Amino acid sequence: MAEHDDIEARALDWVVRTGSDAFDDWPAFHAWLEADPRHAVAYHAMSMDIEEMAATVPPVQVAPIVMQPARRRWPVWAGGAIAASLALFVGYESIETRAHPYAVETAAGTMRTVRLADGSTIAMGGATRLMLDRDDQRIATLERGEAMFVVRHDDSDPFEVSVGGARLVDVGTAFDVKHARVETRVAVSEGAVDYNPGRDGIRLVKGQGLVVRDGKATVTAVDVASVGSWRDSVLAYEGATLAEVADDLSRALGVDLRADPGVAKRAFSGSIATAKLSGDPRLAAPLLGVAIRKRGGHWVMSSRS
Amino acid sequence: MDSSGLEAVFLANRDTLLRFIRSLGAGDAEDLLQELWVRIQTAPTGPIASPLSYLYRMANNLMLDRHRAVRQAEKRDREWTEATGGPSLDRSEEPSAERVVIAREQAALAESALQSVGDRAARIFRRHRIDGIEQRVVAAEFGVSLSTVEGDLRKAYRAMIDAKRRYDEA
Repeated sequence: MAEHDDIEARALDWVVRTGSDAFDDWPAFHAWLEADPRHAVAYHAMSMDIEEMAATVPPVQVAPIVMQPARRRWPVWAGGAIAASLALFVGYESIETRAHPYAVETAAGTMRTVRLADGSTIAMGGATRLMLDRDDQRIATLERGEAMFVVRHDDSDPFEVSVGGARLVDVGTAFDVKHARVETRVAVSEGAVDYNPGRDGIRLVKGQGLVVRDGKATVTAVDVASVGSWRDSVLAYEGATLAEVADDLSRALGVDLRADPGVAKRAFSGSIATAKLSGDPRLAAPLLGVAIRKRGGHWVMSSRS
Repeated sequence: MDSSGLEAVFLANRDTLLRFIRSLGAGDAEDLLQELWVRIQTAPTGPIASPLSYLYRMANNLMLDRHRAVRQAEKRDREWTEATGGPSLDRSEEPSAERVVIAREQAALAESALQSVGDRAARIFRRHRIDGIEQRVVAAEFGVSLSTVEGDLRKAYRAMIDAKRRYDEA
């Protein structure tokens, strides 16, 4: 049994290591597999067992948002006593780890710009949630919504955005990221961004965008001038689905607008000046070629008839 | 590097990749290599920092995809047989009561397995496996080293595997 246990321990180690996007020691993994056919069997059995069990684990419930003001930094000598008293209020999260993530969230119908210490800015659209880190201002996670990043580039410490399980690493840049439901969209208006460097390894340059759906990434062309134009209350589209337009209008106007399945996949090209809608989605109906009616507590886009 | 560059790296390392695929236990390694070749040509183009690593990973993922497909087919057959008492043509896509119970049992086992490994390891597992955050980023979020993240993942994975085996034996 000792030999069997040894194989299992090694296999588990490889499952962990090959599970990292940064893993590059494939020749060593290859050599281990070749040493004994039981190795591959163990590696795959364990990978699948973990996957099957992990599939039953629900995502972490997102805690209610607290807009935290920057916490005052205390001198080191005060650490113990302060930590003990803070523990009552902030729980274990901040005590146990050195990272200090915090959430910034906007309500639907609002915008907000976050300015980082190094001069980088992140403009957030409505209904957007972003995780930042007090101790590492070069990372951000877009949990939902849309944000335009205009970041100061530093070769030795590139700015990194996590979104929908993917990583975007700036290469001197201004770029827009949107994450809603099952889709992630990226559009670059300046410089370049690396999408998942090391794995899919796609470099997006100015005028390029990316759509990721069901784990599949497709590179698209984008109109540089309209990237991030939502910041000026203009939503610009080139062949977007009405479902996407409905999501954007909801976030921009602070309403709950949904596209009826009958029109959700219909394509739309054009610009919508959201400021002129005065919060009433019906005013966009003629432009979109649909009817917009109130149904229950929300608005529905459907076929005109 | 564009896709033609990737093709060149593929061709230069064809034998190595074939041996790698064989070592993964593929009976039809040549077929899988062919599939890899097709995927390279349809993959979105863009610069790839380390093309050979990229090809190794694609091959490894192809093999995992196969195992996953086999697992899912087995699971469907098992649930179907359990739910209907035998193969039947009027299979419903709706989860049967039995299937719901089975899924709940499995979820409860996964949950208690996670609880057994300690709070940090459980949270690191969720962040990496459920939220899909890359290990290096998770390490930064938790303010720990990459090897600590790896150690926690090993612990959580081990607990998950043990739970799965107990569940299968029961």
